[in-house]
Amino acid sequence: MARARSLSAHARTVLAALLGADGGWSHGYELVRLAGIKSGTLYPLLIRLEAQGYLEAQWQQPAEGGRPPRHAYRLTEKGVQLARDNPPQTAAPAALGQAART
Amino acid sequence: MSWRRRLAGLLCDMLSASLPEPNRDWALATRAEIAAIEKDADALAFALDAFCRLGAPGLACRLLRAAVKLSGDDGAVEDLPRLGGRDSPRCWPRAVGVASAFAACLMGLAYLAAAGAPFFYMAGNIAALALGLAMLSVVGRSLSRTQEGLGYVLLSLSLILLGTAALGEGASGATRWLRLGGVAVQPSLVLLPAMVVGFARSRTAPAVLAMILTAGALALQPDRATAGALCAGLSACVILRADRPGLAAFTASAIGWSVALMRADALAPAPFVDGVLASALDIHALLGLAMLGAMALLLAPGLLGSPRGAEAQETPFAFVAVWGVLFLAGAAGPYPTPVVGYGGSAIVGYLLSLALLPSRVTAPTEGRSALPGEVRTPPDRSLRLPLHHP
Repeated sequence: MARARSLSAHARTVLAALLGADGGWSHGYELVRLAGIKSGTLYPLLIRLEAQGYLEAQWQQPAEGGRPPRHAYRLTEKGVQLARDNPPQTAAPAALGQAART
Repeated sequence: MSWRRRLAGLLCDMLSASLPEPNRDWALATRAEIAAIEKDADALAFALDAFCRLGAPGLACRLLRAAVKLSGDDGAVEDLPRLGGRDSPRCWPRAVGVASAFAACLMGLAYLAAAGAPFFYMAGNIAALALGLAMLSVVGRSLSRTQEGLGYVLLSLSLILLGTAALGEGASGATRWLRLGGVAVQPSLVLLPAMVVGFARSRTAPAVLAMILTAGALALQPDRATAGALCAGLSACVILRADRPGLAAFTASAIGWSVALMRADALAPAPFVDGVLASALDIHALLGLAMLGAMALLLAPGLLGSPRGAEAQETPFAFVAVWGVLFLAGAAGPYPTPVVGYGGSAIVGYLLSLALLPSRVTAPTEGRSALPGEVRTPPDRSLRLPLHHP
C-alpha cells in the first residue's frame, strides 16, 4: 500500500503512542519516552501532523500550581485512521508496548 | 535554579526567536515540557535537541517568509510559509529569486573587492539591489496576476529599446545606453528578461509586435548578448508551445540575432563588468567557483519552481533560457556578466524579471487529487522527514 510505504518508522511509532492514549491527551515528554525518540525528532513530526489535520493540540493548565500550562496532543479522527493504517513495522519500544496494553 | 535549567530556558528563548510567528507555540510547548521534567540534565537534553532540530529550519522558514514579502507577494498572509505548511522553497520561485539575488550580489561584492574595484562600484551594485527590490515589490503586486494589458506594457518597453538604439549614448559603434541622472543605464539588460518572461505569459498580438520591435532594436544597437538571450527565451517558449505568435516572435528574434552577429562589435571589454568569470579565476580558483555558483543560484527560481504542465512551465523555462544565455555570453565573450559583475542594470533587470514569475506555485507534492483506486500519498510523504535516529 502506497501510504504504508511513505511513513517513516518514527512517524509510525509516534502515531502508535498517540493511538495508545485511547483518545486522551499526551504531552511532549511523555511521547518522547513512550516512542523512544528525542524531542528534536518528535516536534517536527507533531508540527506536520497538526498542519495536515491528523493531530489536535491544546494548552492545558497543570494539576500542580506554579507550573506553566502544557501543550497537549491527541489524534483527530483522520489521525486515528492514519495510525491504524500505519502500525510500527518493527518491534515497538518496550514503553510503547506497555502503554498500548494499559 | 541550576545552570542547566537556565541554559535550557535560554535555548527555548532562542528557539522561539528562530521560529516563524505561526509556529511559536512549539517553542512555548518545549519550555512547558522542560518545566515538567524533574531531572535538570534531562530537561537540558530535551531543550537542546528541540533547538538543534527546529532552530535552523525555523530560521530558514523565517527568511523565506521575509523573501516572500519582499518579492511583492499579494496572497493571503495565513498562507505564507511556516513549518509544516508550504515551507518548501519550490513553492515560492520569486522568493528564491530574491534570496539568490542577495547571495549573488554578495558574491559579486566579494569579487569586486578582491579585484580591487573602486568603492563606488560596490556602492552602485548595492544601490541597484535596493532599487530592484523596491521595483519588484511594486511591479510584482501590479503585474503578478493579470494578463490584461501586459502585451501593451511589453510594446511600450520595446519602444524604449528602439528609442535607445536611435537616440541613446554610443561607444565604439554600439548604442546601448541611456544617461539617467548622470548614470549610464543599459535598458536592454533592465527590460529584456522581464519582457521575454512576460511574453511567455501572454502571447497576444501587441506582445508579438513588442518582440519583433525588440529584436530589431537589439540588432540596431547592436547587442549580441541580449539579442541571443531574446532568441533563447523565445525558443524556449516555442519548444513548449509552437503556436503562430510564438513562431513569429522567435523568427524575428533569430533574424535580429543574426544581424547583430554580423554587425561589427568593437567595444573593448570593461574591467569588472565584462569577463568577470575569467578575471575571478585569475584571482583564485575558489572565487571563480563562487562566481559559477552565483550564476547557478540565479537560475534557481526557474529550475526549482517549475509547476506541472507545458503552459505553466513556459515562464520558468523562458526565465532560465534568457538568463542562462546572458551568463554564458558573459562567461565566454566580452559581454557583461550579470549581477555578479559591476553594473546596476542587470541587477535591476534580474529582480524585475522575477516580478513576471508567479509568486506562489503548487509544489509537485501538493494539490494533486487522488486518482480513482489510488491511495493519496503526498501529505504523508513529508512525515518521512524526521529520519534521524534518537
